[in-house]
Amino acid sequence: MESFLTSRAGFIFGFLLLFSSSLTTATPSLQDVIGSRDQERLKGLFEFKSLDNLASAYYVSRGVALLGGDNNKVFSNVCSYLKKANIETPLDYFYASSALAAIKGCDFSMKSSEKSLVGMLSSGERNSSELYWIATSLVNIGSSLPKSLTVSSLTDLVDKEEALARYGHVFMIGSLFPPKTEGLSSLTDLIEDVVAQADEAGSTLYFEGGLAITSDIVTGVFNLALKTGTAPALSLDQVTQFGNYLLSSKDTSCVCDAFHLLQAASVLSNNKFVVPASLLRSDYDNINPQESSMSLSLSNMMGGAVGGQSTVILKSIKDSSGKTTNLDKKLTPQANGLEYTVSLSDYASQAGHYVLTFNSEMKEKSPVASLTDVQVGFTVSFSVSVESAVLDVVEKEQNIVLKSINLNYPSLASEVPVADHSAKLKMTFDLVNKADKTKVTLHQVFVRLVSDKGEEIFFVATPTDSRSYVFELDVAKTAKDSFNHQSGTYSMTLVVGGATLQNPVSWDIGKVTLKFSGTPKVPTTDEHEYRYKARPEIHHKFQDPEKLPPSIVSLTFSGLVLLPLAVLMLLWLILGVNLSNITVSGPWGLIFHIGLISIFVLYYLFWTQLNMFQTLKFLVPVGGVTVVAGNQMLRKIAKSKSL
Amino acid sequence: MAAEGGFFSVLGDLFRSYSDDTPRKLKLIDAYLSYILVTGVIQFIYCCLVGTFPFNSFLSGFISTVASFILGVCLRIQTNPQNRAEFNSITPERAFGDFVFAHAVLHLVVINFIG
Amino acid sequence: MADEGSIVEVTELKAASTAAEEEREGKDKKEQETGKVLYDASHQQKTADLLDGAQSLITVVVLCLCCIASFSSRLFAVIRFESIIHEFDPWFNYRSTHYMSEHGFYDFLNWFDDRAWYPLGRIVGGTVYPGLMVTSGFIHFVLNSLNISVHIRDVCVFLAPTFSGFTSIAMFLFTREVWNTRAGLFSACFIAIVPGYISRSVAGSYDNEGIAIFALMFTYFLWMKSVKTGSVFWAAATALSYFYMVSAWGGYVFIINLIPLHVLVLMIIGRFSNRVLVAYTTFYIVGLVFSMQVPFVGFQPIRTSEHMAAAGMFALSIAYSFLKYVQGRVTWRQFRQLFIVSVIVSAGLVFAAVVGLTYAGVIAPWSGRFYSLYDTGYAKIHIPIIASVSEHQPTTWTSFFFDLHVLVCMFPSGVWFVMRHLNDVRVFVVLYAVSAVYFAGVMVRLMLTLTPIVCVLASISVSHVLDGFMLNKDDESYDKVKSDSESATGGGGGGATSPLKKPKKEKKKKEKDQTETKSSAATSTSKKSTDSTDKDGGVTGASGFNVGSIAILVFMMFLVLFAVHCTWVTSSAYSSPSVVLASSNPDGSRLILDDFREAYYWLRQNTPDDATVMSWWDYGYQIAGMANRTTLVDNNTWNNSHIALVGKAMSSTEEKAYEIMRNLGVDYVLVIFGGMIGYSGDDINKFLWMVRIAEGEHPNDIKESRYFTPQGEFRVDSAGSPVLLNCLMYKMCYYRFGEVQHSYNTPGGYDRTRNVEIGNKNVKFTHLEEAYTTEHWLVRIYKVKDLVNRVRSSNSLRHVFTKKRLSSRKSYGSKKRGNIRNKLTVIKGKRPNKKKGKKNNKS
Repeated sequence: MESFLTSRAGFIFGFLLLFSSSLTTATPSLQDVIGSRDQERLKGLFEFKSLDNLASAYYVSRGVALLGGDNNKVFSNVCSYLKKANIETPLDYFYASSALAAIKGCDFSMKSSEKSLVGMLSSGERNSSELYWIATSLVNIGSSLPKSLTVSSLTDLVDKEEALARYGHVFMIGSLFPPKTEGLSSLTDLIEDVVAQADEAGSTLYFEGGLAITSDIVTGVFNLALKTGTAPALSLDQVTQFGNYLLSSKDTSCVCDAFHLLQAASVLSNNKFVVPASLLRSDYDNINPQESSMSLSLSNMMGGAVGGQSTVILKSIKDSSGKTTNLDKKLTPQANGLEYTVSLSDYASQAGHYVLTFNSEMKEKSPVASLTDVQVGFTVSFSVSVESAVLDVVEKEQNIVLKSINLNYPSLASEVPVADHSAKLKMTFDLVNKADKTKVTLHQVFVRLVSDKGEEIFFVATPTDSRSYVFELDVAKTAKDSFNHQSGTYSMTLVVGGATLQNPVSWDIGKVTLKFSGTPKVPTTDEHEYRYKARPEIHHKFQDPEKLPPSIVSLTFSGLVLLPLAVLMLLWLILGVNLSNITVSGPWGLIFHIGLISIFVLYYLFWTQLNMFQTLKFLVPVGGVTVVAGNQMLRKIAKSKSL
Repeated sequence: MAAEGGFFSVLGDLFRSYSDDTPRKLKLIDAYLSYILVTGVIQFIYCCLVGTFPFNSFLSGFISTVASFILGVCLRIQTNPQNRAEFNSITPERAFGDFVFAHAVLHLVVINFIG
Repeated sequence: MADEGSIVEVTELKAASTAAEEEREGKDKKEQETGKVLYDASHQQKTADLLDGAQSLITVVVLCLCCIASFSSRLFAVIRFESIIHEFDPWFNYRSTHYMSEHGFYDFLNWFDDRAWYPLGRIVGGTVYPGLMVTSGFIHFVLNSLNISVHIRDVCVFLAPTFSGFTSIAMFLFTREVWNTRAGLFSACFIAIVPGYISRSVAGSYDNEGIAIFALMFTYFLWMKSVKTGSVFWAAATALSYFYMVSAWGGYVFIINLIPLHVLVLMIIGRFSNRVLVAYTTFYIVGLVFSMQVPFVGFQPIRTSEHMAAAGMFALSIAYSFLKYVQGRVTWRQFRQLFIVSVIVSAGLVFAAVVGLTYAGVIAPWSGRFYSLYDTGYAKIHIPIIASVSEHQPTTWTSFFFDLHVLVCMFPSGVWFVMRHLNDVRVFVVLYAVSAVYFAGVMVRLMLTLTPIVCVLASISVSHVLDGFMLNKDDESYDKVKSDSESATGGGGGGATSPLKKPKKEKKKKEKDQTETKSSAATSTSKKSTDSTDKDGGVTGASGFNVGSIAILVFMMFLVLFAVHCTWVTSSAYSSPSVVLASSNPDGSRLILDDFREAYYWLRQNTPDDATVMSWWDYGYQIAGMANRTTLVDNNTWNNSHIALVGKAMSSTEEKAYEIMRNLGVDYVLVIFGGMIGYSGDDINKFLWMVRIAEGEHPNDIKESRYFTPQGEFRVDSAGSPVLLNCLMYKMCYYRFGEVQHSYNTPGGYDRTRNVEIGNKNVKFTHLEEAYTTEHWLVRIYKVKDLVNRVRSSNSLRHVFTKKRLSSRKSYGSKKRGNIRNKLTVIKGKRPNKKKGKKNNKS
């Protein structure tokens, strides 16, 4: 379902819609093909690729060749490019010679370069890829492989090297040997191991390293098998899974990928051992609305017919309710032997999703895989119309219908109902299948109210047991959460949609006026907004300095404080001071007084500039000296007194 | 009333006795003390009138005055011959030394506090 | 186990040294009376100074041994664990010390710590007593300037033991001032090993008390000195040391109230003299201006009631002495008038001033912690934050004995002796003793202030008694005593091992020949001691020879037992740095639980640098110090409402808590959970305090009663109240604990601490997620998730009838969230190795 919904979204609302999607199948069938349109696209890709190096020339020429068209314009371009290209390395030779071999009608020959190629082959150690290039080039220019190159040397290479790519190259080289070369079987024995190394993801199988390596190995395997004539050790499943993987890069826009895809695809779509097949819808774009039929195509990987001997059987059909009806109905192929048509009118009358199961059987000894239980889904859709729609305004308590308006789809309502907070808006309507006039219920039935300011809100209309829809809008209840108390006229729309619906309905019913009690909340306090808004910046407010007294006052008081000093002096003069002891004290006294003075000077400095530690640093020596001096002096005075 | 009168007369006696028997050295110290006292009073008036905004400065000033007063009083007590008995271990010189030491310590802090 | 051995040695040495000191005491006295017997007066003058020298030598030796003992006996923690800072506050002190040693002192004073009290921050410089940091910073500076490079941490770790050494010296000086040298030596020995002091000063407990006790005793010593001499110099020195005390510890209030009390009592009992006046006034005024230099104290000394007593005493003593001075000059009658008037006036003024100022708010009333000192019930009712601290609980008798042992018994007798021979300084000792006993009874923490005075008084009683008994003995009794004491000390060693006996023996030998060479230390010392001896002549007269020896023997036994007890208590109780826990395995080997540091280191390493960690305040300092992360609340509990907010977050449901934590910007939550290993000090046991504190601020959100069972018990098992079982703290502690099963017979989620099976076993968090849980689940850290990205739409009116939905939802298969439908399963191909490849090729 998922894949269908996404990939074919464009068709969901089509008219009678039939679609396909490959569901789980018992034997894996290819889930895609390189159909005609894809091939056209790839052709275009190759044509418009500008030839700027030998590689592109190689890819383009081989690609075009593989697509089977002989496009002279491209070929002439490649030819002219090869003429003026200079060719040195083995890779160059490989590209050039392969391209040359691919195109027709080019008068450019590389016969001359055989010697140098052989020289390269013999000279020194060559790894598998170089060997592959040289050998291929030799073959391309029509000369035979030298004797020096033997199968055993190849197997040695396989043992010696690590890269996964070597297998591809070795197989390729092996496929260049003449069929009866001895030891080729040892290479074919390798195949099983190699395939065992592939990674499996879902229904795809691939070698790590991607498209190029996978493509090379697959091609190599089949080429070798074709050469030796022994079937490769590959099951059908594996081949199909490889195919699916390759096809997953169908929509590439790079010539090298495109080439690798085609290279493997061409091998896988015609060889005499195993050919994966696919059973797919072939009529995506030519849908016929009238007759409900669909056409399938049973094809190989390149979208080609697998031969008219095949028979396709419609085994069973399963409708959306899960009921399966078995009917082994043999389909008749179209003229081209590719397409089969199924008429569904008598199986799928009801709208819904259906799944068909097919088998395809091949004649004996046909390499093409015969498929079982290929499931193809399709959908029968219907178109709907709205009927018996009534819009009521109901008074809540007594449940009285105040006003009732009959609506008829798709026209506008006749008048504008008014509902206030005591009322309820109620709309009932039926969804009716146009075809058989039966009531249906659908996934998406909404009522959309859009205010004149453009704010919209959806409500879900719910089906009752009698399969008719009811939409109730309780004005009072919804006032706060849904409408934010915004009274006014709202335009009302009914929206109907569904997976099996042809005509999605978007019916503009008309306007209703809703009167809410209460006042609308201011949207600025919307916490959802607020949470992610930057908070207002916090400005730090410093304490404003205290007011200082006017300087006059301070100064006067300073003066006043000094005043008593004078008084002191005065008093001392009255009392009479004798400084005789200072002379008595002698030098110690001098030192002491100096020390004292210096201490107080130091304090002054401390006050003005120094910090505590500096002060202490100075104070310690000065103080010490002063203490000693003072001690001596006082002792002296004491002595002099005691005498 | 009588109490009041007695009170003032007492003050008069007090002053007389003081001026009579107090050695001059002590009187010098007393002068110094009164000077400190007046200074402190002025500072107090200032804080009452203007306010004590740089509180630490005011405190450092005021406390330093009080402290100097106290130290002066101590010096006076210790050098007072009447208290000889109590302070037998302390000679007047020792007292003076202590006085100076205490002042040095005190003013270090005062300066630190005055900001 | 090598550590163990060394520890034993240390303890032995200590015991030995203390015991040896006791003997020396014995010998001092012995010498004295032998001297009395042997020598006649003619030699005395010649020998006196020599003997002085001898005695002072012995004194110094003993003191040094005391310091060594007090230092070494505090090293258990370092030896057992490592040199690490201990429990909680020390971590902050260490952090700020570190800051100061890096940024310098002035930056430290201006340090605004934005890592604490998020989002408020804390002005560290203004809210700590910087004395501790300055001291250790100074030591660090000195050592480094001497090119002894030592890390600041080691300085911090060993600061407390060092200062305990100083303390014992200060004690010696103090006691010598109070009584005499011998008692001083005893008290030095006691304080060196008494557990009551060791409890706060073991190596690594880097806290204010460590240095404060030294400052306290030294201040008191200087106060004694200045009271005795009445010299300004000593008073100024007292003020200086008081300043150091102020800068070191809030306990300085004890000094500034006790000293005025002393003066007052002296005044009342009529011992007030000019000496006291000089000492007190000088001390007070200088100390006042000094104490205001400490930023944290600021203007409190003139603003708060705690300091008013001192101020009043200052005024009173001045007035008193002034009046006395006047009294000397006028007649008694006049004086009375003068006195009455002035007293009335001054008293009225002072009273009016104090009351007025208090009501004007200039003088702050008593702070809560001080109320709680006077009314023990106060804190529990009004300030749970104070009551919640275990060391603020009232003291039990057991803890008295545990911390002081035999000293408790000797201490009253010491008081008695002091009372008998009272003088100015001894009055102080008595006052100190009484008040300290009261406060110690109120708060366990104040045991610390009681311990020194107990040591002093006990030492006084011991030395007094020994004086009494030993001052009249003759030689053989002396030998007897010595042998006794020897055996006693032998016992004192407890499990003393033979190598340890030897040094002790030779020590004794040394002492003996000391005593022989200078065996006439008597006369001078005896002179010194006569005052005490002849005072208690009664005792000496009564004590015969047997009584004496027996008594001495008994005392020795006491002291030895004391030493043993101290060693045991110190090693067992007080030497674990609650940062690293030690338990013992079943096989007896020691198991170190280092969960705390594990958790903090995890925080430091694994959380953004600006992450905010919420935890209960006990762990704030450690988180800041060890994890260096921002904390909401920490051990300096200055903002009760902030703590209450955290308590509220812890004790409310997760949703409410989430709102609070969002508002506080919490990034991580840290809880301590002991239920795994049976650690009792975990957050569940503290939880009720969180509830109480939260209730104090948010009474209508949190109710303590809701956390109890109807029977009123606090249970964490299934019977517990649902409110408790769903509060954040419970959920964080027991998150996924139900899955743990200790042993086969215990049920899952068995709490070993509470010994119950927890009630709420499947704890789910919506806003938090477990960030880290340590090895033993001791610390659990949770991350607070950010807001959910999806905002619920406001349009709620979508009536969707699930019963008859017609959408194709059914086919979506499994309802499990987050599975990718039909996802490719890649099956890798085989990668054959070379050999296999070869084999295949061959085949």
